[in-house]
Amino acid sequence: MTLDQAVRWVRPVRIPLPPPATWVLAGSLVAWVVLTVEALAATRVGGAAATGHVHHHGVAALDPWTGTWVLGWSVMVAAMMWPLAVPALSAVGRAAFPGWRVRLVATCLATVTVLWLAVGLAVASVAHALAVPAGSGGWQLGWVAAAVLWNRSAWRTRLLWRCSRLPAIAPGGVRGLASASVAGAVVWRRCALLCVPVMAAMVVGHGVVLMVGGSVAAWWEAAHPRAWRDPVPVLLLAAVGLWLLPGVVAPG
Amino acid sequence: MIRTRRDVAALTLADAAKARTQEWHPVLDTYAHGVRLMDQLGEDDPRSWLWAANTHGIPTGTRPRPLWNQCAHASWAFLPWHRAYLAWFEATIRELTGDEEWRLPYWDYSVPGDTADRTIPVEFSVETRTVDGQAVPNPLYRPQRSAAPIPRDDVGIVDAMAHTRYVRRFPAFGFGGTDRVGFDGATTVEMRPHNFVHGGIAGRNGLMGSTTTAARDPVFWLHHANIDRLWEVWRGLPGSIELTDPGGAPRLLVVQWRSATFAFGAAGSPATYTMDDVEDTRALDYVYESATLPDDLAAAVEERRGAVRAGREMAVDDTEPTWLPVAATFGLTSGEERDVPLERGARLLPDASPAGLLVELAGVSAMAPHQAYAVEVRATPDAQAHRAGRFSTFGLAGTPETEERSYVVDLSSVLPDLLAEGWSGGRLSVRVVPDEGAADSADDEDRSIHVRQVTVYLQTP
Repeated sequence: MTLDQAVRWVRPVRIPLPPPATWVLAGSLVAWVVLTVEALAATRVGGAAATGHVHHHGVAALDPWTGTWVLGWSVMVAAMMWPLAVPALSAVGRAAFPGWRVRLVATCLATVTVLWLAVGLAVASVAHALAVPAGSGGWQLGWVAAAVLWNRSAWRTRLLWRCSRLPAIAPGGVRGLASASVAGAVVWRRCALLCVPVMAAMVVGHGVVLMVGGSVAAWWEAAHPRAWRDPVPVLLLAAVGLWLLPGVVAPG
Repeated sequence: MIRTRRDVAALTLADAAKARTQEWHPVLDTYAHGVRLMDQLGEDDPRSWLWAANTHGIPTGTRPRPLWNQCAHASWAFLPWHRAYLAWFEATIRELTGDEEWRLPYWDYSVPGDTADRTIPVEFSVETRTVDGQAVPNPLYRPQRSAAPIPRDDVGIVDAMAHTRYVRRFPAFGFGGTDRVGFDGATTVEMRPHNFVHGGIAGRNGLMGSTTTAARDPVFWLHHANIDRLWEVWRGLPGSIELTDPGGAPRLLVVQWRSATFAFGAAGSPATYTMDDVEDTRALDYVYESATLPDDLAAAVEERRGAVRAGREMAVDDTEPTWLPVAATFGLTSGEERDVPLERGARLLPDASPAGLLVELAGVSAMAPHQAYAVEVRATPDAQAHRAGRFSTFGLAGTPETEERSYVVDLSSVLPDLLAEGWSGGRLSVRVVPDEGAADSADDEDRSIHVRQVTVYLQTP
């Protein structure tokens, strides 16, 4: 092709295609709406799991190998984790040939989602093996406490400084898809560093308070990656822990 | 107590024989004394020389600590992190020597036309000095440095100063970096003069040649004091747009910048510096003896900035990218020529010619690279080669084999030549070659670099 043709080609056609950040955040917003409606509905019928105050006497053990659990977990991943992937998705989109932009961004996002699904299933399987009841407040409180401790680790802080480096993104083709997948894995690794204990807490149930507190803490840290010993996420997680506490110490 | 960081040119004896036998200027004398005291402390003491150096980088095999190996290269944090790092180091020297007025001198190697200023001050190059009538080892001396003046091209600051923005939208760069998350390449002022000066001082095997050992060389701190000073110079230039200025960067990046806190020392009780501390040198109790450009450099910068303003100034928060990838190739080794076909597309828009040409070299790895490379491009394989886009490999040497860096080189200066030769797109021949004239450019041994991915970007008009 000639240079003029190339320039014409690379010059963006002004079509109303929103940047990745817009539709990913929109997807996340939809997920939040779905989860909130679900939680409210559960509250109305007396399901305390929605609020996080769970009474685990007489509650069935968690079974992650059901469509309901997988769907609920996936929606939660979209709600909480997709916003964390936006900066990397924007970088992938800008590195791609125009004709490959959507495919590479979607591949990167799908990798993040699938990895979280795999981790969720793995942790939930452990919980199932340990006969942890669905919505167990003790399980959730334990993991939130671990999240608070993990948050104060200097090693975690320095990992967060350094773990966001993306690999070279091939602008198209099979290499492009592969590199977008690797970028997704890098994004997932960072998200996991930020909030894997909170996510582990939620495999047994994602009450609104736990989900909102965990999300805001993770988003806050993502927006303040170089803050040293930032009290905000710790206070948020501690508040979630206090909310969970009554259901654990005085069940029933 | 605000004190002045002074130009080492005004402090040096400028004669090796005198440096061995005569009394040094108190600023340099205190520095040597402080380095000696730090060197005498055990590695486990956060005030020790090794702790200070390891905070920047650690050689392979060193047992890590949480606040070691944290140098913030290849990011927007390069300048503020190093400013805080220098302030912490300066405070350690003051504490150990008891000299509360001491401030780190800077080494201004960019003074035009003066060879002496591009050679390491003699107080750093003599093996012994005289203290109380006795010849003693010089704490500021390190072996294996290059004794030659740093090449003039390597200390140029006009390119960096000509940028009006602190950050620009990737793959373009501002004075201090790019807005892209996770980019692992050097930014404008970080590449030149910073990286090139590291290589120029290190020679073939000097400590300054690797991020893992650079801060073990006492001249490192004067070099970085000058880079820090250049940031102040840039901020004082009319028209400079800082990251936090309106429209200076995407909102998320501004939030990340504002909330940054830099920590040094023991993880349990570190010294911390907020961005508010770092943005104003007076908050750190120092100013520079000179934070302005010499007249000829100022004129050159003004001319370049005028040209930039006349061209397309790109807003960082513009949602429409200006640079777009048009071609890519993979697995290129330096010295190898590669024809890169431009991607085929079908969208037709009104006639236009490209306004700029960039090449991104991503995932660059090497065992023992040359200090610097350049990129050659040809309109066709048998056409004349045009060389541009020099880059220093500082940061690759001495790091683990898995370590990779990326470089973005601006080839816009040769675009008119390519177009004049009838380059009409289709293909572009690309070759990465050792930089001519560098001390190690003619070495016989295999010092190649491997580039995981080469991406060609065109700037749309």
